[in-house]
Parts: sequence; C-alpha cells; structure tokens
Amino acid sequence: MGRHGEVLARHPVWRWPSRIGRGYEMDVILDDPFVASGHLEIHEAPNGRLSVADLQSVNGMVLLPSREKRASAEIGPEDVVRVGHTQLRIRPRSFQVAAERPVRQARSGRRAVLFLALITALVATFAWSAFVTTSHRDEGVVVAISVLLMLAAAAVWVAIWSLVSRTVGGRANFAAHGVVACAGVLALEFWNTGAQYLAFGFDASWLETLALAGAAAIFAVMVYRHLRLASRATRFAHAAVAAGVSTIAFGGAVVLTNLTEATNLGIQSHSESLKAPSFVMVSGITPTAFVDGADSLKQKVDAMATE
Amino acid sequence: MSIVTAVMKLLRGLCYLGLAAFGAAAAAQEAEISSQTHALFEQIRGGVAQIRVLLGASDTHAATGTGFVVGDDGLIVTNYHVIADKALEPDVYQLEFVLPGGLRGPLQIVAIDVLNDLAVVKGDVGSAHVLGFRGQPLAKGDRGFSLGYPLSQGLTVVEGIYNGRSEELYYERIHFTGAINSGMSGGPAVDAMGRVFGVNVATHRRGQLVSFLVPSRFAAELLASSSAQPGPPSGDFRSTVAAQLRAHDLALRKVLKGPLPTQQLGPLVVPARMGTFMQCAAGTERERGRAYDVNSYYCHTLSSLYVDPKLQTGMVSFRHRILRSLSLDPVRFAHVQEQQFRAPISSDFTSRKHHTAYACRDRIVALEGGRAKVAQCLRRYKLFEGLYDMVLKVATLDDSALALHSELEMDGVSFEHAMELSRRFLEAIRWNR
Repeated sequence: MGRHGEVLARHPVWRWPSRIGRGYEMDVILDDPFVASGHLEIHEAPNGRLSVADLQSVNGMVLLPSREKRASAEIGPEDVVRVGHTQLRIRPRSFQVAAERPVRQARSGRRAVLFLALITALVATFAWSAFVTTSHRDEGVVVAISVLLMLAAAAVWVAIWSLVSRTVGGRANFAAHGVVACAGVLALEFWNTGAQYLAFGFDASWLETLALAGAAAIFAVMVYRHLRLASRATRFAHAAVAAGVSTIAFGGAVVLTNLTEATNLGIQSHSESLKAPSFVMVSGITPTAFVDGADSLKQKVDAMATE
Repeated sequence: MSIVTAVMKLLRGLCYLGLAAFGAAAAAQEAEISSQTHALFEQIRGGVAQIRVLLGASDTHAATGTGFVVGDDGLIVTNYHVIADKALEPDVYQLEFVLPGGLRGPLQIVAIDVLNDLAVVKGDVGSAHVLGFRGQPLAKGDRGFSLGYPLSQGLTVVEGIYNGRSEELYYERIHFTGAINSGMSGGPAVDAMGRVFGVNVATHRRGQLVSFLVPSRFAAELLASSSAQPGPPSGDFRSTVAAQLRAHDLALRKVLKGPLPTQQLGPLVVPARMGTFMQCAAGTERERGRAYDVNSYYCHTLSSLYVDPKLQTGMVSFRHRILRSLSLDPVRFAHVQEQQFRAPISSDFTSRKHHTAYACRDRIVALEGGRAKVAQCLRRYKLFEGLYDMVLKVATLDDSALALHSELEMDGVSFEHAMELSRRFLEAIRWNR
C-alpha cells in the first residue's frame, strides 16, 4: 500500500503458513531494502482470524497506527502492518469486497457543463467589474487585460490544487477543482459587492466589517472543498485546515492593512465607497449631528499623539 | 537652487537691458545715487551680521540668514524662519553670528514672533554699529536699500522701491520691488538715512523682484516685549510657538465668523471666497474621449505660517469640483466619483515629527435640498498642544449624472474651530432648484 493508504499491488497467497520477505523462496516477495530476506510469517489463528509473527528481523514489525515493534500480532481485515518501508494489509480469501460501482458517464458530463457555465459566469463578472472602472473610450483594452489576468490567476489556483490532488490522492480532479474555484470566486465577488452596496445604501460601515467575516467564511468553504477533493483525511482535519488557512489569510490582510494605516501618514481609513444615488436608502443625519460625532476622532488622534 | 539660478540669470539680463536704455544723460544722476549708496553702505555695514545655524558643535551650516544689531546690549533682529531649528530643537542646533570685520560668536534666542516671522537673538557683538528704526512709513515709490548675505555671497546691498502694504497677505507685509535672495532673510531694509523700515522676509516664487518685508514696527514691538518678558531659560520655544499658533487660529476664527459668502456653481450654491485674505482660482478639466468633465474652484487663505522646514501651517482652503457625466451610465459615473473621493489628502506637509496619522469617519448627511456622503479626517500636532489638521470631504448624492465634490482643509486649528467651520461649510451647501 502507498503512504496514504491507497492499494498499489495485491498478491494472492495459496497456503498457510505463508512467509513474506525479500528472499526468492518467499511466498510474497517485497523489493524493499529495509525488509529481511525472511521477515514475516502468517498463520491461521484458531478463531478464523490471521496472526503474523516477526522472523527475528533487524527492523521488526509494527502494527499501525502504533509505532511499537511487535514479535507477533493477531490482525483483522482492516489492520495495517508495516515492515521496513512497506505497508501491508492481509485479508482472508473469504473477505467480501465492496459492490461494483456503476460507471457514471452522465455525471462527469454534467460536471464539465457546470464547469463551463461557471467559467462563463466568471468571465462575465470579471468583465463587468473591469468595465465599470472605465470612463474613457480608449480603456477597452483595460477590460480585456484585467479579465485575462483574473482568468490566469484562477487557472493557476486550479492547477495548484490539481497538482496537490495528483500528488496526494493520485487523481488530478481538474474539472472538480475548477468548479470549486469558479463557484468560490463568484460567491466572493457577489458577497463583497452586495455588502459594499448595502453598507453604502444603509450608511452602515459595520456591514463592511461583517462582510469581511463572511468573505473569510466563503474562502474557508472553498479551501475545504478543494481539500476534500485532494486528500482522504477526515472531514474534521479538512475543516480545521480550511479554517486555519482562511483565518491566516484574512487575519493577515486585516493586520497588514491596520499596520499600513497606522504607519502611513497619508492614507485615510474612512469608507471609500461611493455608489450611484439610487442605492441610497437613508435620509441622512443633520450637519450638526455629523459634526457632533467627531469627538471619537479627537479621542483617537489625542491618544496617538501621546503614545 | 536651479530656480534661484534661473532668477539670477533673468535678473542679470534685466540689469543689462536697463544699462543700455539709460544712456549718457542720466550718468551724472547715477553717479550721485551711487555715491549716496556707497556712503550709506559704509555707515551701516558694521551692524549687519550673517546668522548661521550649526548642526551640533560642528562647523556645518544647517542654514544661514542675516540679522542686524539694534541695541547696545548685543540684541540682533532676524527672521524666525532663520533660527526656527534652534528654537524647536535647542539641543541639536547652535547659533552663531559673523560680522563683516570677522568678529564671530554664539547667539541665544531672546524672543520669537512666528506670525510676523521675527526673532530677537543676543550675542557679544562688541561695539558693532547699532541700527535705528524709522518711525514713519515711507511713501509709495520711495527708494529703499535691503542688506544681507545672499547665498553666502558676502554682505550685499540691494536697491529697491517701496510699494506700500501688500494687498493680499493676511499679515501685514511691505511690498518691496528688489532682488531679495535666499540668505538675506532677516536683513534690514533701510531708507536713505540708514533707518530700518522693514525686515527682509520673502520673495514671490513666480514673480520677478516681487519681495516682501516685515514692517519695522513689529520688530520694535517684539524688542520692547522681549525686555519685559524674557524667553524660556532652556531655550526651548515649543510652547511659545504653540501659543502663537493658537493665537493665530483664534484670530482667524474671528475673521471667519459671520455667515459664509456663497456663490452659484452649476445647480448648487456653495461657500465662496471668505475675504480679501483669500486667493481663489478656477479651472476646467476636459479631455478628448473622456466621458465626464470637471469644473473646479479653489480658494486658500494667504495666512501660511512657517514653523520649521517640515511644517507650514495656519492655512484654511477649500475646493469645489463639479463632475458632470457626458455619456457615463450611473454605475460607471459612481465609480469615477469613488476614485475622486478616494484621492489622498492634498497636504504637502506631512511629517512623522509633527503629525499623527489621520483618523477618519464618514456618514450620509442631509444637506439643504439633497443628500451627500461626508467624510472627515483629523490629525493632531505632536509638538504643539491643542492644534489639529482637519479635512472635510463632501460628495453629493442626488443626481446620477452630476455631482459636487467639495473639500475643506484647515491646518493648525483648534478642534472647536475645525468643527464649527465644518458645520457652517456643510450648512452653506444647498441645491438651487
């Protein structure tokens, strides 16, 4: 078996006891320099189970996940034994394998269609966000370049996850990673834009802070889905890693922004969003009420000056 | 340096032109003036010193200027901006005077007047010539002579014309048509009898020979008050500077009291020039192919005060920009506005030594006849208690094809003044529909 539990080869054994090792006289031959020429012997135990015994090899035998060397052990069909650098699972002939999986041609076709649809939606979204930044007739090329750059970034992201999948899990899962990435980026884009418009329209800057938390959550879900496709670890492990990655990415960005603002005297940290008038949902406060609220600014800069 | 060189080249050119135009007829009169100038120069040169600001105990000049002896006890009048480094950081800088005879020695600051850019310093000048002040102002067109050490070129006398009080500046200055150059700051401008009527202070960067003098009565007043109130014994004038800046703010606040003058700008009524001490300019930005245009209007008070090389303050300015969409849809026009609203604060003077970072806030505010997004940023001065810089930005939100972006900027003001003018500025903006 491979390091991640995937089966690399199966060797049938016709009699008990059977011997496993590097020597030519063995029943199962392992080409592993860390295995003795005669390393293990397998017996049928009286209760129908199997037992393995170490034939006094130098490196011994370990029953995973423990790291302790054992002289002998009774094993079930799911136990994994390690000798040298090789992992073995030994099952009796009577072991029932899982039922045959039907070939799902239709489903993988659906995934490709979904992937294409999502890419189209992504291109349209990127093109729109680039288009709204233009105000000069010569700026069409800006739209094209920014769409291409965004697509290139998305492609690199999917490629990295496919590579990880291929290395860890044996399958690239390119289309599936593509679906996750496109859906994730689209969700992020819509969430952020929506939050910006809401924060602007309702004059509530706290919504922008909330939006950041939401974006971190979407990103975590996206990483979680990629991890599920890439490796066979438990859901809990994947969720923990995804949450960690997202926290580091967004927390780091927040810390970095705050540091830049505190050290750069030119940058201001007021909400910079200004949308079309039809999105304004509040009637606005009076000039006097606005000016009265400036005490918080005074407290902030007074504290900065005495630091 | 290049600007100064260019100005000097230009001046030289003008001198040559002048010489060619005169001719032999004026030769006799010229000789008379020349001998007068010579006699005057000989008489008073012994009382005009070069002032040097030295970094620590070294002999390296951080800055140079001019000063003139005004009392038997070694008192010298110069510009505040010449000795500003020493006044704010007495442990880092030293002051020194050098008289034409070669006599030199250390100086101590006795009194400063930041608003009129004057300082009184004291040193052991021996029996240097003492200059006296002229009591009466000159008449427009009278000749005067300005003395100083331009660009460390040795003591120089420059002839010029007295042109009365400058009409624009917030603080009283004499408009003097003469070639005052850097290094002459703090030098005396004297009449034909050698009596001081002004102190060299500045030249107009964009003008030719347009120079400014501080009227001598302010120097006389500072001298009188300095004998009554000695400066801080530590030589650290920070709190004095702070008090004078606060006094400036208070005076400006009084001047700006009363209803704000307004003017029509597109469909809006906006604050306009607040007095003769304010200079305004208008312009328009159009570009082929660009789907919006901008008309702008900018005013600022001519009350800028020099505090040190990293800080000029005391100004109030505002800017209105009318952005008009020519063919942009509301979403793209909003984006253009967002970019304009986001543009960094325009202050030229930002220094970690003097300023905290800006703290900002923003809300949607109901103005008369419409709504606007208003952002306000504030920062505090670190060395001068109770003084702030404030920026107020307004972007109107009631037309998807036209918007007013206004900005009010106040430098070196009290928090109360900043808030009061902010409120009045916001209240003055209204739609005229």
